[in-house]
Amino acid sequence: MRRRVAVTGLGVVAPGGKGVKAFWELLTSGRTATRPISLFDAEGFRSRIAAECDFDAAAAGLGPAEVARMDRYVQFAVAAADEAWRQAELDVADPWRLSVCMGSAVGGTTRLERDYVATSHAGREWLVDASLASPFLCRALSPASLAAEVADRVGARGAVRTVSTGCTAGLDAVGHAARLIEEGRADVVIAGASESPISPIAVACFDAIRATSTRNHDPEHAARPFDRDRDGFVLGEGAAVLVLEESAHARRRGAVVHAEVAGFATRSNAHHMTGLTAEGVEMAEAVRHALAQARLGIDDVDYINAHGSGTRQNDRHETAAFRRVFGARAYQVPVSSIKSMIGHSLGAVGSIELVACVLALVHGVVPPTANLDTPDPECDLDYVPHTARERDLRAVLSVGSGFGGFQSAVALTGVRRP
Amino acid sequence: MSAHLSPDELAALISRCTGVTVTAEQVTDPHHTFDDLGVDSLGLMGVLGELQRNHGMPRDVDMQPDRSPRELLSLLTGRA
Amino acid sequence: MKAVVTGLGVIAPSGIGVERFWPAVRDGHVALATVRRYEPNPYPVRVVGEVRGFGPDGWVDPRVVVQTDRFTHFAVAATTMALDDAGLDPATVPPFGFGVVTASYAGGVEFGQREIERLWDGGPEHVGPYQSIAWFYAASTGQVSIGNGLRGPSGVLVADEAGGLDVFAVADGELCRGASAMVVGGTEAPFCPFSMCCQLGLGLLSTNEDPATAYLPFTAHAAGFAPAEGGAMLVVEDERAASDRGANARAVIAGYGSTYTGTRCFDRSAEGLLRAAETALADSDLDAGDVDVVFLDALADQRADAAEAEALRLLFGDRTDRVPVTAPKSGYGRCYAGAAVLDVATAVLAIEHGAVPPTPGVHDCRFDLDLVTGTARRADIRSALVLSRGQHGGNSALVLRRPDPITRGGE
Repeated sequence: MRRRVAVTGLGVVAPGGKGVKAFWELLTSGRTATRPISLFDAEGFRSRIAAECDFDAAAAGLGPAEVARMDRYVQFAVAAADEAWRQAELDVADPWRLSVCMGSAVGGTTRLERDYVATSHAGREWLVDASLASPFLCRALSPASLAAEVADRVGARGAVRTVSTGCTAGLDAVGHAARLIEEGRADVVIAGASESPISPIAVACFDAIRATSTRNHDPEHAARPFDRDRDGFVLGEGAAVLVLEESAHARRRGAVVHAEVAGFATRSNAHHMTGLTAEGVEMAEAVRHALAQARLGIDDVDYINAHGSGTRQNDRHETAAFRRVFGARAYQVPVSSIKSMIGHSLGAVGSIELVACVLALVHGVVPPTANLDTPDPECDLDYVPHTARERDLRAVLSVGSGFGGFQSAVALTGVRRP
Repeated sequence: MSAHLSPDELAALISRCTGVTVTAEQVTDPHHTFDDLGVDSLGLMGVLGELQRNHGMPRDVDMQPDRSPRELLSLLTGRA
Repeated sequence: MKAVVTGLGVIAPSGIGVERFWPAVRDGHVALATVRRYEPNPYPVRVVGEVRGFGPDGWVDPRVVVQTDRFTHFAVAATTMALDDAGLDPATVPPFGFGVVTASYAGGVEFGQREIERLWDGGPEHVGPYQSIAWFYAASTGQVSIGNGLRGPSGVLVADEAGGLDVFAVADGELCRGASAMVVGGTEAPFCPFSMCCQLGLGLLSTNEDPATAYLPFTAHAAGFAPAEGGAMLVVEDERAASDRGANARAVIAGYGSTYTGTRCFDRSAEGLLRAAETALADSDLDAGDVDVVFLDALADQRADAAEAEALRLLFGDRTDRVPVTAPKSGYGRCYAGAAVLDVATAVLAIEHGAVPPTPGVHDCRFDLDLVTGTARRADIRSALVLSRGQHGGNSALVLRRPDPITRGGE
């Protein structure tokens, strides 16, 4: 008998408000959380806008020692994990059957940069002075510390992994986590992703390839997926965690099941580290496999959560991919991008979007694409502009695309599965 | 800082920034686009960045790989 | 599990390519030396395992060289070796049937240090277009996929050293879900001053300045490990796909287990390693009595070594002092996510050659273990257990089996 994967807890730290409730309110209101960068002085940078979290570590229950030890993205993850864990009410799990699988694209970059500046006297000395480094710098070199901190929080003793497939890490981490359950290696997995990339080096490196929006005078309207006047993505930050649980395990303890992770697949375009093909063949392939694994037909999918980064290339690429898989039905399925509201938090955003998908299934509401005033003529699907839409959802799909050529897709089903 | 750059100098700069070996003849031949030479958009952004930092090219100049190095060269000398 | 190893690509301080690596490892050659890649004097850790004589030219397309860090150069070159070794042309594999999974610890940190320096010394416009694709942990998987046209399922794990075994489980999962072949591995290039500055904080690196005695796991002198660069990439294939194309299955990836026992809580890693090994053996349909050799994690930290020895005692019981165990990495260092991958490659070679390579430099094991020292020992190896621990608390175990069927003792 196939082991199925239930979602029994959700937690999120996103721009526009902490916690699942505030997050969902933001998404359904169609408001945007993009604004001028406040985390550092961005004068002189090409893109000076971002979607930042107003995160209060103390209010999130983190003590001074934890704040000192954990990078900002780890703090986000722990706060999101706490929320998800509380909701799952799961204090009886066998620790050796409890795993953690977290994603991040750039991990401790922000601390690495800060400590590099300190130890190199602002970039002047290649032979850095190690005596000036933070005692926790070693934890920043590898984001393996992310999953470890979350594991310590919940007392996990099973496999603990960090997935780092760039901007698809948030989907892939949840996909890998679901597989741990399907393969019988775990009964419960804390799955999710986190990122806090709003630092000079990250902003500069996206400046250098002109990937980010320069609508600095109008930050609230800068993230414009599928819009004719889009000019790149808006960097974001945040974290999301889902408690995944083997369905029978959840049923036995009478847990509230919000949705099921029914299918996951990832493919590579083997084309270019940042470029995408016009046809979307590989993303289409990932979607087909995720649906096949979920045993869903194209008519069963009632909502697609797009990657929708708002770069010229991406939005056309995935539109082509959706047409390729869904044919005529592509025009009947609502497609939206919540990056229009919360920005693009790289490795974290896939998990944040999956939380949005679970909430969409639970509430029967499709979150909108903000700022979509004039659709790009080449992006001709129903992108749910501006306003959330009520709709009975049976199954939803979330896709992602990342540097390195990664194309991933996750299929979720509601409690009333098609 | 000077916007003047000889074909040899531009060819050397392109080779250094992109890893694609380019000759002076290739940068002056209007039929060779960056795409033809195997220089992609990222590589070209590196070339433009270098010209902007060290050779006085204005920061707002943008170019896609379907254009030719010769156009870039004339842009540079034209502005001199 | 259904994966078989069909190709090896190794780049290690002990040798570039299997034909140089295996004799050096078999003979217990010590390849540790004072770091040359940067001026070592400001730092207390000087003895490392550097890959000498490797340049990307000839291995990596010049266009890719300018946009990648050394850790990716290693990955790309080792993949070419592995595909060649496997005799596998990716064009002959179904279009979405060939993927890549790598493990990484430090990513493209040297490239990253250079670009951050340009940012802070020059300004935002001094950061080049390749920073966004060179530094992040996914750079090697992406470049290997692009360079070889691999459009199948791909992945990247960062789980310190243990990630080097976890990638095999991920790859096996993809083969079970329909992929035909996977490139699997991990490489590291952690030697730039800032990267070393980060590693010093681990408190686990050896400050001994004599290459002959810097990394002596399981001895009373154990006082840290020597970090290393390099790693390995392997081609693993679906058992049937490999047999259909007449490929030589070098070893079977038979089983895997993984646990977590807390960041730097090495005392607790004994139970974690034990459970990981038991799971991997059960997964392989084997029991502890079937293990012919163990490749050790060998952190060379007194408590960590004791915990590993304890795990073996709990696993093997009365037989503990009769199971050959070894840590070839004491001869070339510990290259983080590449370390366990190199151990897997070494295990495949050990099975093929019928020899357990020694633990170089070690003569006085302080535990009641059959630690192979001095020179290689001839052995008929049907199954090998590889152990690995990450600094952040992961304990992973992988079982490799010789492809011929095993007749269970006593049955």
